[in-house]
Amino acid sequence: MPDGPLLKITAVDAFYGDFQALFGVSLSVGAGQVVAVIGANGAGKSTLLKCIAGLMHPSRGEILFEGVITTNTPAFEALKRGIALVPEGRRLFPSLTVAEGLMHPSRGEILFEGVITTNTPAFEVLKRGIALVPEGRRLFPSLTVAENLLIGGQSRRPGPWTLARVYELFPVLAERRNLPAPALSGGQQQMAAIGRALMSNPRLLLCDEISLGLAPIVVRDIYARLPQITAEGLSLVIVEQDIVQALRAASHVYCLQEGRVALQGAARDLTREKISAAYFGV
Amino acid sequence: MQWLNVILQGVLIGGLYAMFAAGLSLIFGVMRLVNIAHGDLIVLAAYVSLMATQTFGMDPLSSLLLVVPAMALIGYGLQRGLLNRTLGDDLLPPLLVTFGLSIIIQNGLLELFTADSRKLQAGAIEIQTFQLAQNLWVGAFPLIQFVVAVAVIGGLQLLFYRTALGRALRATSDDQAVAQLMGLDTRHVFAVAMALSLAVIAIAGVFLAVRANFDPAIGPARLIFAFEAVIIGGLGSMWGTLAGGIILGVSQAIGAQIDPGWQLLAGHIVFLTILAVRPQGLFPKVSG
Repeated sequence: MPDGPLLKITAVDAFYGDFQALFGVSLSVGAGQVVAVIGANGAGKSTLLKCIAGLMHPSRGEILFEGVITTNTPAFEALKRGIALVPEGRRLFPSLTVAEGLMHPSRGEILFEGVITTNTPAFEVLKRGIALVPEGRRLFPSLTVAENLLIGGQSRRPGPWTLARVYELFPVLAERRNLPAPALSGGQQQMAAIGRALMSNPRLLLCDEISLGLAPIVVRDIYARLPQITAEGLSLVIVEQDIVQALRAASHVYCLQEGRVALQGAARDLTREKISAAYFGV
Repeated sequence: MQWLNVILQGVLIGGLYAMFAAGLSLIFGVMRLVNIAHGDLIVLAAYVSLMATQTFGMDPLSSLLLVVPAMALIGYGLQRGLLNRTLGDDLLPPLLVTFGLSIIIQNGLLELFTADSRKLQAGAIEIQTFQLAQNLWVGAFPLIQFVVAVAVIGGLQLLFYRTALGRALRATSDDQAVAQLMGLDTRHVFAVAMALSLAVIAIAGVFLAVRANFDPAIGPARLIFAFEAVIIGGLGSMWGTLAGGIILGVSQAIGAQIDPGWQLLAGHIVFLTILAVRPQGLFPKVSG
């Protein structure tokens, strides 16, 4: 294993149609590190996670895992060239027609464990060890809680996370395992969504807006369990509007503003004034 | 007793209609694709069975051993090679492409097999009957057909709710993007769903071909029966689809008993009535 960050994102540009959502965003996450990405609505936080998870595809830039540059399959190279030549040619990429959005990263690469994951479909990205807890939980409504968790483990890597281990982390899910997912409260759904992502035994867990629509006490409860997750050697990227929680949980913080990194640094070095300035662009 | 007999025959043919409908319902449920070529694929399965019986001298029921995997393979290839490319937010492209596919299959079969009516010969089993009561007889073949239909519907139900594959199909139906995040290749999941659908079609096609004459042009009418059974039963419910098929079969049998010309009309009228009174169907899926 080479030294260097687990995940390294270099100069990623991403578009929704003609609208550019990310401008040369760079970010790195060390092994076992918790990184928070904060910013106002529309700053590009979720877009960044979607690019890492393979739900959207940067048209430029790199996303690398553990710094070892290995070229991907020839098919991937073809895809990459296709995007470079025909930015609107999303029909060349079957996975894009089923992925949400019309995202085309136009520059930059995303490398994960040394493999370029840019333009890799989400299901392949997961197999390499990146799992996303999507914004709004998005459990499968016609599946029970247990089935939602099992789906998460459908293509699992070897590792510590099993159904029993997830139930241990969130005991309430064990009690409600046979209920349909929509029967859970918002906080329980968030736990199920995190548990579902853990079931694949990821190296890197991406959490999109854990606190969204949840009562503060529930948010604190969920955040209190994150150390149990990182204790297994997992790295975390948390996208969060709740700055207080983000600063408390993360060691390193990136603040996005209109698609650009406006501020970054160790959580303990960032003052409220600096963050306000970066957050609101004043 | 005569009416009881009519209803019984209607129930038994309803099993066949349910098999027509199950594949259609499955595809729509998993990927929101309305397969206009569904009826023609049923007829294609009948011709594949015809070739198998002529080439290998098999009887039609044994030919299922060949026809089912062959059709499943065709389904997988069709989805990966063609239909996956048509899926997206717009429902129109898959409609148009499967409509085109329907025309291609009909004309391909016409070219290969001419417009002559064919029928598969299953031998003595076709004419064997059991007496259930005074003046109430049931044919061995329609009975087998019905039992197979119930087994197919029950099997699909089990597969959907008791297996990892079923879980993947339901998850993909719920939310494709998140299903991808779970490591599911939705293109593969869709292709497996189409393979399953065509495997069911294969069984239905062989039973159709033994029961009645077929020619390359009868596909669209089978598609209508399938649609009607699905709508009557309610989308998303396999047992509802079986009920829908039976209601359609019984309606047609009663119509035919009143006047031989009213067979199809009676089925359509019952379908329209249910659509008007209960548009969600009689047994819609409770959740989702």
